[in-house]
Amino acid sequence: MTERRGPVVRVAGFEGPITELVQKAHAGEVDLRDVHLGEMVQRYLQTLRQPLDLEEVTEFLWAASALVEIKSKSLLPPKPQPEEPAATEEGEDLARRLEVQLEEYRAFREAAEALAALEAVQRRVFTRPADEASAGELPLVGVTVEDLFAAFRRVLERAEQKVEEIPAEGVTVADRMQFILRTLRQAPGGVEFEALFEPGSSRLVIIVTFLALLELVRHRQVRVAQAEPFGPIRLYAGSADP
Amino acid sequence: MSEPRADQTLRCALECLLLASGGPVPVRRLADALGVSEAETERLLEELARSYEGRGLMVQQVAGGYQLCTRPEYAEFVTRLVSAQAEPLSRATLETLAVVAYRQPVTRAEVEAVRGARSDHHLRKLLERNLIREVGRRPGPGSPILYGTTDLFLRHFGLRDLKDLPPLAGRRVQDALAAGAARQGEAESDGEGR
Repeated sequence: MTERRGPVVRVAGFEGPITELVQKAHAGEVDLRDVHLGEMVQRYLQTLRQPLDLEEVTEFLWAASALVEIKSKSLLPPKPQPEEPAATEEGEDLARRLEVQLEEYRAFREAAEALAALEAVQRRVFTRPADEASAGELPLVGVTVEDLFAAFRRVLERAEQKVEEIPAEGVTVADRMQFILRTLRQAPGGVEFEALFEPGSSRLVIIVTFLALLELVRHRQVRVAQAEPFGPIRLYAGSADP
Repeated sequence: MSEPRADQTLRCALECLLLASGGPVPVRRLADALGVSEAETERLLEELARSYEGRGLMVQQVAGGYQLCTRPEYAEFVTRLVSAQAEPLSRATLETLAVVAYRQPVTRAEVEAVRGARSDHHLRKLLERNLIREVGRRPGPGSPILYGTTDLFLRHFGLRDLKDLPPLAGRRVQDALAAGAARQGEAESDGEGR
């Protein structure tokens, strides 16, 4: 795989993927003082065609900058030993950081390739799909936000029938989230949506409870299932930890 | 003294549990259902797996549990009947996922620093596919969202757990990871979850 190791370059004393050249130059196996990096880059630019393979170009750019850095260091006179420890340390630190970053990125790219290989195998593995018949265990039935809203409207309409003034209740979304989680934990078989709203609850409590439910669904702490269109909506404690 | 008949009953029951569940089931839950110890369940699982040798199905250890599934060799036939699994992830998305998997919990900025490229699109895709999730926020300016992988991530790649991830190459990377983990440890003890 050439793309993984960067484009192939040909310079004095070396021919192969550019990342290998970086390794060899770093190890001192190739003397960059004999290598005309400018020419190498020129030649590479001439081979570039649209559309650009951005990954390859990036790899080349990374490697070329690493080469320039190694070469510039080899061209500079050896550092006078302890004269300016601060300055050289800083330079070395930067170089080391660059190297670490390059190596790190390459390691993650390799990891991504390993994952791709695992994915290719696992995509060929099938389990029995969870079907509606066993919805009690793992209800993977689709409920849209519209369904939820329709149910919410029904509850609100029910509340409308006995109008009350709204007392300044200390109802918070956090409280209602706790309430819903508590209720669901006590009901492994799930709870019907309407059951979350005690009869006679004020609009405020209903609205805040609904907001709390949406928040819990977002965090996957509550799963929502509807066995059939227009059927009752059931809520289950989700898998995500609070 | 082992009782072959009781053993066979348990093994058959285990097979039923795996089929009825579909996805991976933790050993503890299987043990509870069978009414035997976890060690005993592991042994039965091993026996069951062996009995599937040379068959179309297999017992796979994945995502912290065991599942009964088809062997990859027969995917061609299976896909003629049922729809194929979700699309494979693109290279760049896989790269983003790799950084999240090895570095979790991790922020978008940290992912982008490693990749040297914007990654919000890929993170969004991974969230949509439920392969990663928000696991909290890092204390500090802007309290950025922290991402981690999901159970589905393990299932998608057939991994037993996060320790089952392929090892990252490079000693420097190992060092950097260790340093990163140490830093995160400090940050977390500073103040968990804002």
